[in-house]
Amino acid sequence: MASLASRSVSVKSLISNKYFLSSPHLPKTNLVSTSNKTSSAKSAALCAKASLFSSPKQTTKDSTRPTKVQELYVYEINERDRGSPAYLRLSQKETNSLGDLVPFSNKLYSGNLEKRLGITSGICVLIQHVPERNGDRYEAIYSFYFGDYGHLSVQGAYLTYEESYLAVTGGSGVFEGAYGQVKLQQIVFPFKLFYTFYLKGIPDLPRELLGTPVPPSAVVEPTLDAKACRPHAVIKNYTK
Amino acid sequence: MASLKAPSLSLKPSAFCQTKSLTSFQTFPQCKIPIKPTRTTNLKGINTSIKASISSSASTKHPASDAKPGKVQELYVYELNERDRGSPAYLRLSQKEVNSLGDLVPFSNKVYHGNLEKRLGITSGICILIQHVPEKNGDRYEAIFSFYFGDYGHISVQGPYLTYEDTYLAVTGGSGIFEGVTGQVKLHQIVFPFKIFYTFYLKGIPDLPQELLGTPVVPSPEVEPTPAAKAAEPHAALKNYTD
Repeated sequence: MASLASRSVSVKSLISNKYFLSSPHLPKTNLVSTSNKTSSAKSAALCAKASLFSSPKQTTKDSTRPTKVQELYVYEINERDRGSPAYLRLSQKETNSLGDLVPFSNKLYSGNLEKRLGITSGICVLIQHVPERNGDRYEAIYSFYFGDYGHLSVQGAYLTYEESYLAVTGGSGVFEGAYGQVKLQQIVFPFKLFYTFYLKGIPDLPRELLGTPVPPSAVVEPTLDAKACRPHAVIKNYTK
Repeated sequence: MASLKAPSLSLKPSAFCQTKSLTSFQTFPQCKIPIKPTRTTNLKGINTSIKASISSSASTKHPASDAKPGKVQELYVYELNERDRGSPAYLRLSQKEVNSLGDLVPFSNKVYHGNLEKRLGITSGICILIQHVPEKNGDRYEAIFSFYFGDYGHISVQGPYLTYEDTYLAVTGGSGIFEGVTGQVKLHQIVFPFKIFYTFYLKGIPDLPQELLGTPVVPSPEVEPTPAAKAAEPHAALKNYTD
C-alpha cells in the first residue's frame, strides 16, 4: 500500500488547513475539470489499482449467495437487574455529548414473549444530542445471544427518538454467515425494544425461534414463566 | 442508570495529532450542536421518497433479487472534519502521557460525494487506540464505524486505521440500499486527521443510484467541498442527508 501521507506533507497540510479555517473563501481548487488533465496519470494509477480488486464484469447468474429472507422477531427488555446501562459521561459535559459511552446488556425474549432466549450486550457510542427531537444519536455495536443456538452481531444507528435499521454484521452457530439488516423499534425508552431481523445466508431457523410476535406496545411484558426462566419457557442454555 | 465518575481526563487535542504537527489549536473547539429546523424525517422511509433504483426497500420482505453477487461496485467518498461536531473526543483513559492502549476516540465527521459537489451524510463510530508506533510517528487504531447516506441507508465497517499509511477495512454490512453488502474499503488519509478519501469495493447489492456515482476529485491536501455542498443547499445534498 502506498503511503501517501508522509510526515512533511501532513505538516504542510496542517498549515494550509489552518489557513483554510480562518479564510473560508479561499478559491476552491481541484474541481474535477481543471485538475483532470494533469492528474490523469494519478487517476489512471488509482483506477489500475482499483481494478486489481474488481472481478471482471459478470454476465453469469452465479448465485453463490442465497437470497431467501427469514424474519426473526425478538424483544429486548431492560429489567434493571443487570446494572445496565452504564452511562459513562466521559465527555465531562452537562449535556450528552460526543465522548459519552454507554455499555449495556439486557434480556432477550422471543417475539411472542413466551421464551427467554438470552441477552444483548455491547456498547452505544453517543454521537450527538438532537435537541429538536429531544433525543440522541448513538452508534450502536452489539450482539444478541441465543444460548446454544449462537449469536448475531449488529452495528448501526440507534436514535432514541425514532426507529432505525442496523446492519447484521455476522453471527455464529445457526447464524453463521448471516447477513442482512434489523429494524429497531423502541417501545419504551430505554427499557423495551422490539427487533425485526431480516436474515439472509443461513439455513432455516429452528421453529423454536420463529412464530407470530406479540405486536409491540408500551404494556407488553414477558410471560411470568419466561421471566422466571422456567425450563419450558427458555431455550437450551439460554444466555444469562 | 449507573453513571461513572470519570477519572480526570486529558482531552488536549494536540494529543490526538502527530507530535510533529502544529499546535494550531490549544483548546478543543466548543462543541456547539447546530440547531437545524425540524425535519419530519423518516430515515428509512425509502419506499416513499427515493426515486433511485432500489430493488429492495428496507420495509419489504423481498430479497434483493437483482443484486449481482460477483459484481464489484466502486463508491468514492470524502470524510471531512470541519470541526463543528465536537469531534474527535480523545478519551485518554490509559492515563498515560503517550498514546496508549486504553485510549478511546469516538468521532463523527461529514461525508461528501467523491466529486465533492454533494453532501451525503456523516460518519460515526469509535477508534480504539491499539499502539503508538514511534518509528512511524503515528498510531494504530482499531476503527469501528459507519457511513450514513441519508435515506439511502448506511454502511458499517471495521478494521485498522493507521495514522501513517493507507489501510483496508472490512465492510461488515449495511442497511437500506446497502442491505446485505460485503466487501472492503480503502482508507486513504490526505490530511491527518481532517481529510480522508475512501474507495469502497462493494459486492452483493443492486446497482447503486447514479446520484452516488461519478468520477471523484483526485485526493490532495487542498481539496474542499463546493460551497453549496458545504452549506448543504438542496441541490448539493442528498434528500434528508444525515446530519
